[in-house]
Amino acid sequence: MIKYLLKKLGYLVIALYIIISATFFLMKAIPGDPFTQEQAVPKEILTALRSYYGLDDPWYVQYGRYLKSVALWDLGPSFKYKGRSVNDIIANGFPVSALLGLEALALSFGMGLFLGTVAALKHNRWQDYLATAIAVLGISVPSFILATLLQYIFALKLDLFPIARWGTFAHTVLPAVALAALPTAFIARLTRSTMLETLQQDYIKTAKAKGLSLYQVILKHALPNSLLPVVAYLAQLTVNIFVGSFVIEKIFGIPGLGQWFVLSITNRDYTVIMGTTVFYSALLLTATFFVDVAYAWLDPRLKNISNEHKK
Amino acid sequence: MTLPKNLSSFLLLPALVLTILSTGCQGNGETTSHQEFARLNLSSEPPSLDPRTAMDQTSAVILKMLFEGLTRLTPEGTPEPALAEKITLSNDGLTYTFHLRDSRWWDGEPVTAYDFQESWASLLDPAFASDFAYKLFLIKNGRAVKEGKLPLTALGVKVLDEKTLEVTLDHPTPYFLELLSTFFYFAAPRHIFKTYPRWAVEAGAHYVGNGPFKLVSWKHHNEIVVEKNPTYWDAEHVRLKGISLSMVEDASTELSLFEKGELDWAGKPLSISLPFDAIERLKKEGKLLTGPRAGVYMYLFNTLKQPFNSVSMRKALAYAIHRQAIIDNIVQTPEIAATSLIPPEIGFPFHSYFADGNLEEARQLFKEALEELHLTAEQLPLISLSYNTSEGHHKIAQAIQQQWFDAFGFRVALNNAEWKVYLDKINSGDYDMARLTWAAEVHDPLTFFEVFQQSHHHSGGWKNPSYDHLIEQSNLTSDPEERKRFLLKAEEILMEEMPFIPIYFNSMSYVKNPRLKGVAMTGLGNIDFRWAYFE
Repeated sequence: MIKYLLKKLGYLVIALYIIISATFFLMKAIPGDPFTQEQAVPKEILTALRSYYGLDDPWYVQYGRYLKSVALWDLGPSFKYKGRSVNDIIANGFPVSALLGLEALALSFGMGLFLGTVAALKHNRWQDYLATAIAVLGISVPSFILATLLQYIFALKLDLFPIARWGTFAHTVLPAVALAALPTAFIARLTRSTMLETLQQDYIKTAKAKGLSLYQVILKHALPNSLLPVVAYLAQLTVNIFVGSFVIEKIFGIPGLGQWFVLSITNRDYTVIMGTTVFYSALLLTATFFVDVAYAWLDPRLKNISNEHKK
Repeated sequence: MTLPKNLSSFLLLPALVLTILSTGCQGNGETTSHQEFARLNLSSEPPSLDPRTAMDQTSAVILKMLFEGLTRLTPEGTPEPALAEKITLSNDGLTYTFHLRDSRWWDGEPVTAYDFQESWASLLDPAFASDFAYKLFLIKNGRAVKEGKLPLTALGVKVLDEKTLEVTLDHPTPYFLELLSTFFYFAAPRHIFKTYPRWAVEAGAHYVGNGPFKLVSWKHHNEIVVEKNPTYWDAEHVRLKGISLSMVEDASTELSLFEKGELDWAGKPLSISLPFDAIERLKKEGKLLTGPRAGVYMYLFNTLKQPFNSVSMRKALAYAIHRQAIIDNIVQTPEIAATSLIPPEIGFPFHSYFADGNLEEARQLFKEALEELHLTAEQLPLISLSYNTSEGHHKIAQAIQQQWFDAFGFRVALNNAEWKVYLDKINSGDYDMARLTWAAEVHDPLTFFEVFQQSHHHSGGWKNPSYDHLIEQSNLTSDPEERKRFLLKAEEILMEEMPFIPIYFNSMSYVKNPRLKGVAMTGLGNIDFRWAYFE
């Protein structure tokens, strides 16, 4: 078991290294640099800036310096936002995105499981069609349209929530809903299909035959067994939703981390591009690692494989 | 659970409390009843609030609130002495002497001539990274100092005594006093920045300025709050209680916030622009406000490439564009059709060098150009028109593409690229025709003329020794009339050679709370809330 985990951990480090390197070289390949601008900046100023930030060193020196900074988790200063460090930017933005993500996650799980279960139980009846319709809408309506629509209805017309910005719980409601739409739809569909399958199983019939109420059958037997694929999806979803969304953060004016993924590229803010990418990858890979661990623990077949390895 | 009904109540609460407190303190309802917070929005986080490292419009707006320069632009757009009480200029137009008034940084330290000297010297220190350091190359030996060829002590800035500063320039610069009102000539507090190099990264005890407002809080990418600075030398004329500046990037959200009464301003020059599709509606509702912006929207020719090595070809394309139609139907705000280089807002003698949409002459020139090039219209190479990715630029390019095709069957391919990729392309000369907007930061035409100097990276390969010579001469003379003559001559040469196509002179559109008055704006895109008040 330990060996299996170590192997997985090894893969994680290799994957991270590949991502860091690929990002570094892709980033250097984009035309323009942090100091490219419209104004006629004298050559000597540009040279001075490039040398100050170490951009005139050979690529392998910059690459080596970068690997070192990631290893020490000291990601350097932003080129664009003078005096601010990338660590600082992540430390400021991530909690905001994560809080919003947590709300969206809770919302999408609650709504998704509920819709999926209802759809499966009322298979081919109007409840099923309604839930499916909601799911299709959630998947196909782009988040910027949904966000604008929510702003229009709930902020401008009904005056229930603030239009945008960040500060109180009320500010988080509309963006969380907009953020939750897609995963809700996804979870609803996933739950519906596995639930339909589960409901055909013999043990459900047994449970019903025992005289358990429908409520007990669903909650004790059907739902837990339908949850496995949803849990598998959880790792990726959590990370994706926690690092924030560029579109939602832009529309609602939220100071989260999501906007930095795009902003840093438009600014060619090299250190921020690398920092946010590494942060995101590390988060994603760690989450995947834990899913692997959970699987090894849950799935007897995997356990046997690892035991065999041990022998 | 109760939620705050909307953002404005949430935002106004501190303002309200403060208003009540101040009314209580002063016991004078008459002067304080109108004191309120103005609520503005910037479309991005200011990249720097250190006047020495800032380089953009957003930072400039806030720095104007937090700092006072030697001069400040009046609402009419002319520089008046601010921190300097008296300014004298030597006869050769090179040496300025500034007599500073008694004033203090908001932590109580006096502002002295040393603050200016040491700020400018630190900016020109070769080891100090600053994009805008070249703006100080006007000062004698500024360039040589930055290049490390001369020591910092050789800089043309002398402190005669605590209150007297003497500045020697490299060449006579009629707009120098106006430049002094821009942030790159502000002084940073020397007693702070020497001890705390990261002083300007956060609001707090180390962030010290001397402007009409003081920095109270700075939540990165979220909100900046400034309040009236009681130690400002002219605090009695500052009428706003304070200003909150939120940072919502999305133009539609910004407008929604404005329409719900949570912002007092939306649009230029504070944020990038109003949403394109709202312009027509705002105009109909009578809410849209506009003003000129001293900038020119143009297409640059790569004169090193065929067929743009032909002057007649360049002129034919310039004359064939019907600018007014583009302004009326696409831009929809009061831009001015440009048939010269210098925007009228600059105050330079305004000439129209050709008629807008002059098809007859354009066709004649086109024919001549083909003869010159020994080509037929079919043999012309496929030309690409480059611009940075944006809905507006794309629509304008499409219209012009059509106009040229209708005029003489001239074909161009449209080619857009992301902003920095695009800049990289034009800076390396990889284009046939490229879009450019050139805007002024002072009321002087020189910045426009400089684009076409041989040494400039946007000159499109165009070279004209007599043009370059005229610009040089204009820099040497201290007689404003003579300078004007040199520059007019230069403009004539330029319009005769046409290395670019002027399309329109910019404007600015915005909406504002009608109660908010006294906001000083100039066509240079700067905006100053020093005199602002609510009615």
